[in-house]
Amino acid sequence: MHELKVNGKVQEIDADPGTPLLWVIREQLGLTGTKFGCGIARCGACTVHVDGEPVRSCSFTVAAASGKEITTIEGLSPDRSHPLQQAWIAEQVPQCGYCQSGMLMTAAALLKARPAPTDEEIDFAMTNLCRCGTYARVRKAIKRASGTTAT
Amino acid sequence: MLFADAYRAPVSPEGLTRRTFLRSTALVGGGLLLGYAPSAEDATLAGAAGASPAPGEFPLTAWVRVTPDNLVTLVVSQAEIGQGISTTLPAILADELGADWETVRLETAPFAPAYRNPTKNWMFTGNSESIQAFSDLMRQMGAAVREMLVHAAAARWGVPAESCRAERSQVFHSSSGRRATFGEVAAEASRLPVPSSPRLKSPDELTLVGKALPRIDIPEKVDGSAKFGIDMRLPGMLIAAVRTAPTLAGRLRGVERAPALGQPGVRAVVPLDNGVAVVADTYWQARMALSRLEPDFDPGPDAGLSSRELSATYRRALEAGPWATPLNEGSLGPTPDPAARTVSAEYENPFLAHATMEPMNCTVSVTSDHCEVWAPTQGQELAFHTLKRVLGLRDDQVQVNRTPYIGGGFGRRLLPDFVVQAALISKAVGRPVKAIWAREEDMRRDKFRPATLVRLAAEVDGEGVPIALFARVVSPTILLPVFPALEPLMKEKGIDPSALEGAVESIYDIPRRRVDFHLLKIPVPTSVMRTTGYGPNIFAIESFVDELAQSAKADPYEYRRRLLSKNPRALAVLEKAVRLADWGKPLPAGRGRGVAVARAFGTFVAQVVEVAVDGADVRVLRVVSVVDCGRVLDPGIATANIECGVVFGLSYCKSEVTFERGGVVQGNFDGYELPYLAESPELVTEFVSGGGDLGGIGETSPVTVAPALANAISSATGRRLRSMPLARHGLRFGVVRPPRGKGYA
Amino acid sequence: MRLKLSTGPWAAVLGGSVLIGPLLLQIGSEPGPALAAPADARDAGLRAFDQVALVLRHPRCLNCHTTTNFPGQGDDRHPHVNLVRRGLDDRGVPGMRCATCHQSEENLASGVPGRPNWRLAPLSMGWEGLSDSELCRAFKDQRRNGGRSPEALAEHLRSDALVSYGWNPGGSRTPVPVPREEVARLMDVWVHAGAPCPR
Repeated sequence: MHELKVNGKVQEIDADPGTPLLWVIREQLGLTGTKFGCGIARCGACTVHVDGEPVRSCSFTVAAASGKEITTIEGLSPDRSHPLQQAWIAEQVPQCGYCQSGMLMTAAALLKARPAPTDEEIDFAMTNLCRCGTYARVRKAIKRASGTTAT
Repeated sequence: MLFADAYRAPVSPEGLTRRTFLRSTALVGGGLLLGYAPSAEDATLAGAAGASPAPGEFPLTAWVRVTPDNLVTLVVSQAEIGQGISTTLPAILADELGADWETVRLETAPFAPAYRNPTKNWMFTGNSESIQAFSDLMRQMGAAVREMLVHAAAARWGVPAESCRAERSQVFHSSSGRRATFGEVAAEASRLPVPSSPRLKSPDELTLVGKALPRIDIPEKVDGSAKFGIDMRLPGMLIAAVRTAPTLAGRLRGVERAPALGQPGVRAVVPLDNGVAVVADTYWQARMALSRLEPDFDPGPDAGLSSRELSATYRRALEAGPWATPLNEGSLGPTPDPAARTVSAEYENPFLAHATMEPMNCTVSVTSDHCEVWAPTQGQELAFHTLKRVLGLRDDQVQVNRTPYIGGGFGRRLLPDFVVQAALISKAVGRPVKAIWAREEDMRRDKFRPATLVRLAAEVDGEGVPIALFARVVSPTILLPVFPALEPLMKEKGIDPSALEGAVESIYDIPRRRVDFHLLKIPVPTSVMRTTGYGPNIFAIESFVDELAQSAKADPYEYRRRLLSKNPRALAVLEKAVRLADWGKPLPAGRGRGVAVARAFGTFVAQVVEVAVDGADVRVLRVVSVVDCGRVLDPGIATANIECGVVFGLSYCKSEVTFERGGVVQGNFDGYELPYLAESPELVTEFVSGGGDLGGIGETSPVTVAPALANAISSATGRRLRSMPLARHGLRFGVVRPPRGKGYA
Repeated sequence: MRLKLSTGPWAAVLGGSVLIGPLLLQIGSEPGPALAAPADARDAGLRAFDQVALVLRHPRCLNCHTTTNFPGQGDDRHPHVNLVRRGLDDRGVPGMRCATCHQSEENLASGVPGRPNWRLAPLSMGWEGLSDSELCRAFKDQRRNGGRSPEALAEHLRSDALVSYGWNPGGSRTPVPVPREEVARLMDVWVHAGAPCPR
């Protein structure tokens, strides 16, 4: 039995200790906002926060998650009010949308550490893959959310 | 457009095809339903969201419902794969109707004949033609319902209908101030005849079309609530993990099930023709148990297939044919006149993987007499017919629902293979099953964008201007897997209509042109992928035009201008693109600009790519795109499609699929890399209106990226790339802005 | 610390296992004349360091002991995928930390290697492109190597959890070809010889 706090709520999870946190979130907890894209930590679609830090949950076991605080895309805000979510809507970022949960969670981690990120900081933080190619709008939305025009 | 010519459905003598069969009915509890009443043959097809028909009536397949609570519900027939179609088509209807866009509800359509593409008589989403095919129907339906509602309100008030207007889901009688909601008059409206030629609004009456509307799907895509196929949940559902043979043609000889069966959560091990599935309570349980199995695979024919062997096959075909000759303007012989001055070159396009970010998956519930599917599919009708055949069911026993959102399509999801596989697994276990493919499975069981080999040769005059152009195209099929009905035509003519796109037609004024085509048979499964035949052919053509310009010692832009004197729309996009790109302004050493212009999917596009090449690093600094698609119905969505398409086009220059020992080498994003945000260029995008018919924009901008990039690299380095991806030439994309900061540089 | 001297007069004199540590603690970066090791012990130390250098230069070590602001990856030492960068604390940049993917043990699901405190070695401990002499001096320089004495360096190689990765990297990564116990032994020879560096 693993005990983790997910989006502020303590959850008891019965799963093999090696189960990726990604699948626990999606199936045992029914939080399907976090996505499966590759399973080898290359695409970032599975990005969540663990104790406030960005983690690719396909590469993080439920055992390692025990006792930690997990935040998923559903926990970013109760009502799309996070500045990044607002910016993502204002800039009309998503195309198919499948990568965007992970993209937003990575961006949220970036903004926490760097409230006014430069282009360079955005370049090397946002390595999440987007098959549809929405990158220019991702960049624009991050800057909008951070209220910056820094380059 | 070639494909359309090859596959245009016969238009009924009534002219507006089946739109004259729009009917309305009253909904139980009040309200109006506008739908399409199928012909007698189609009436047997159920599985539609519709009202109960009155006795003696055929069931209506709903497109529009207006309920007493004043909710307008529109059905979305086309798959939302990221292109924004689920906003624009309903907006066209809602605009004509005068519905309150903020409160309009949308529903996805199951397969039903009513939802077929009117020009192809087939339900699918692809070929960048949803707007072209459906916009008239949307307008007709919106206008028809508007007139019915207005007439009903006017009748109630005893005033002329012309004195009333519909706006924001209400009918207003201006002079008296009377108003009624759509919901209040819907029941009465439903008893009126559906007007066969309702008045369509003039452009200045429209409040939605032509504007950049906030897309209806985006809010759900920023908070994790958007439901994709992989997110499907059904009571009693089990999950299947699947593994198929390592070789393309491998079959399952047998598998010892015991290692999986005892594992936690595992319910069944299901052998498949070419693999095995493990069914469990959760995906991870299924996947872990699957990895304990050691299936015995028969490698099948072509077990030694390799990229080298495939190259040799293409080469042999290019040298020996045989050829179909779909075009010969000027009665040209097979090769240029040996006495003429000739320029020739060969171009190669690689095999590409769709690599949708959401891997293939499908949820199916099969019982002895029913099959219901929830699929992230672009090809509902093909899935429907295939399931019927495979499961031996009747039309009314199969329902193919489409999940609201799909994590990328690019043509992959037109195919029914992943749907049928899930259905067979469900049938075997007698429970609803969601089958999820691992990324490795998705990549190796793709049906790839086919590789092509193209030889171009031109006879040129004294100024290097082409007077005769010879094209030899070797390509496997693109269309056959998604439109099996084409097989007789393809066999008879020896062509694939899509594989000829961009080769048979030309924007340039070249007096004599010949195209020879060899439909190559190879053991690699190939199918449609975004840009279809245009991508590979335009790579060859637009690279070649640059080489002709070089040979004539002419500027690539000026050279093209001469050849476009009779094509004002192509000239207009080209001129604007080069202007926006500062063409001709001197660049520092190591930098270059490349241009490409094309007509694809009914739309003209010109791009200028600017690169900086530093050793092996190619930094794509800027891409200017100018597009003439006739009319822009939603500038926000149109711009997004073009700009995101540029990055997608760059992905065609970054990775390829290769083969070894009968199977696919690449299995994940480690072997098949996608562009990073840091590698993506500054984008400048503009639209011009050439006043022509509506053209498609879903696949258009990736078409010109590869040749414009090759042309830019040639300009920067003098080195001509006649194939992609960059890695074939020892090059790679570099981070556009080389890092400088501490900890980065 | 058990120190086995397998060759040379020291073995004959001291016989088998002996604790040399306390003696060597008085030695600075090079043995002073009063405690200068006999020539063949010094030779043994130099030869031992040659072997240790193979380890230090092996991709499993060099990929993190880089002089660049990105890790190496793989036996071919290509720049680490996903545009990974060192950052200000050797643990990645905001949004893309080492711990975003690497956990305290190898993740069998994803194949991503892991050890506690996964990070780059500081730039001062970067060994790329150094000659044997430069490598040895950098290795020993307490101003650059985190204040580690030669004994502490030996301990680092012998028992550090992150360093253990080199010998059990998982996946298809080539492990350090010299077994860890042998490296420990070589380090002891080197330390005992006064941690000599080639000229």
